[in-house]
Amino acid sequence: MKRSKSKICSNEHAKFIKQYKSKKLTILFCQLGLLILFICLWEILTQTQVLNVLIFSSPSRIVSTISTLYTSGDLFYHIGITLSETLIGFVLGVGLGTIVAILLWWNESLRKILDPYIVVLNSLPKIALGPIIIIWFGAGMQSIIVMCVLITIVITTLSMLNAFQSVSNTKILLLQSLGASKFTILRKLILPSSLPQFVSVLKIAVGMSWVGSIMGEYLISSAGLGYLIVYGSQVFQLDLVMSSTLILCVLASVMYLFVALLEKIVHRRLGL
Amino acid sequence: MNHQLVIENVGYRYHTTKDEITAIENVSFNVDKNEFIAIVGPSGCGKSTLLSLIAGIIKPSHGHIKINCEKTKGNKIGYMFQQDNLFEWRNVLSNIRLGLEITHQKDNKLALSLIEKYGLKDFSRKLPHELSGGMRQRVALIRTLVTNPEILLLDEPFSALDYQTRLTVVQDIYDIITKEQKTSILVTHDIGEAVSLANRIIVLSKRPSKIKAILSTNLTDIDSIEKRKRTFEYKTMVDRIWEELQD
Ligand SMILES: Nc1ncnc2c1ncn2[C@@H]1O[C@H](COP(=O)(O)OP(=O)(O)OP(=O)(O)O)[C@@H](O)[C@H]1O
Ligand SMILES: [Mg+2]
Repeated sequence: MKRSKSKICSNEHAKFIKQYKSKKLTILFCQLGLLILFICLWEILTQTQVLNVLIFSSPSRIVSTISTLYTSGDLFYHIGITLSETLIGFVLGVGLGTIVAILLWWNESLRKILDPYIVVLNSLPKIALGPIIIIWFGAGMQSIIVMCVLITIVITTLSMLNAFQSVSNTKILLLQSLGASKFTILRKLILPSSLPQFVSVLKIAVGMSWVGSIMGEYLISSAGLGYLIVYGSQVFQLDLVMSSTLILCVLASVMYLFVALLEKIVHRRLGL
Repeated sequence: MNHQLVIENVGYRYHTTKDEITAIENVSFNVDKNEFIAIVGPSGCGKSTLLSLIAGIIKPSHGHIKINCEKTKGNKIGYMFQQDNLFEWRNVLSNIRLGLEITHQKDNKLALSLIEKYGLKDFSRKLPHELSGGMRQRVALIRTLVTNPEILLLDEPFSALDYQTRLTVVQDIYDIITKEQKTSILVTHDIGEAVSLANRIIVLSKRPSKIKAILSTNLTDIDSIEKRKRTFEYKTMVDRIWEELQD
């Protein structure tokens, strides 16, 4: 009797799981279908000259452009440059931003003094500083990295400071009652408990630093994917523009996926 | 006679830009070794402030507090709060060792023996989120006991638990405290909890807090807290404190 009941239950559950899985599969199928449809339509419309292939490029031309870039060795050269700018800018921006946040958490007066400046810096569109940065740091990679840093540092500082300050007061009280110093409180409580927010900052900053590096390359243009895009549009080679954009898309997604994976690991570990 | 804890004419004021808040005024009482004291009073009257003073986290505006005739210093105090305040990223064992790390004690023996004694051994590698509310509070207590404090300060440690869990957890925590022979000061706004656990109850008035009454009970001879609650003395005492708090 009891057994049959549990069997019914598990049957129902199996049904539920089956439905869930088939729904998931349908969604995946639709997603892929949409992409394939888009590519096919693009190819057909340009082949039949409904769309001008010089303005819209086409999937087949993108593929051949990328393979030419690859055989000439240019592909990984440009990817390497943009990727390293982005990564260096990202690491520096997040690192420095976190350090600033720690200093601001540590010293209340400093926090109050710097508050208006941070607000202004946060609301300023950082790209406006581009020309100044180029004059100060030269028309090279440094300027682009500075751009990345500028874009990521403010958001990192603000989010991390917010995380530090939202640590529960009684936890601090607990450590104080044990005679912990401020440094100990920082090390044992504030930093570890802000880890989830840190990971979500990474997620935002990773996108931001792509904005920084591509913007920088638009302004300075000597090498990199952003350079290829600008160059391609100047000489009216839409194939190059589209190819570079596509590569950029893939790179940015991969980097985002890495951070998202990291977030998943942290969350699982903490049971969030 | 030497009391373990002496609180003499203690007052405390918070200063904000808007005004000065006198949280506590002229509070004096003594606590002897192994006593279980409960403090009740209206919400916001300064109970938590009083515990922070005893813990030495803040200094009294006037008067003084002495533990074993000395000025207060961290280590002799164990502090427990409404939230268990377990660190989610540390497992049970490492949460329990927190106090040892902070006070630079290498000796793990007490920690391990307490873990063994109070049935946490199988859980010692688990993370806090894998434990029930009652279990978490037990871990919090063991963490507090590990530094071997002389006085336990308990700031509404049960009020975040649901009613069912609470009944068992109160007995559980109480048993551990008496077994370890710790002097305890419990802040609660549950009068029943105060009467059933403490041998003396301090009733505070509205802010600025003064002592309204100090009442002693004889209920601690009875082991079970549930049995204590069925006695006549319990009921009269609860009524009496209730009346004290009314006006
Ligand atoms: N840091 C602070 N600055 C200013 N005022 C404070 C501060 N902490 C507490 N107070 C005030 O002091 C009074 C006593 O606070 P306390 O937390 O000690 O009360 P309590 O009796 O523990 O209250 P509750 O029952 O809500 O826990 C309250 O009126 C509160 O507003
Ligand atoms: Mg309180």
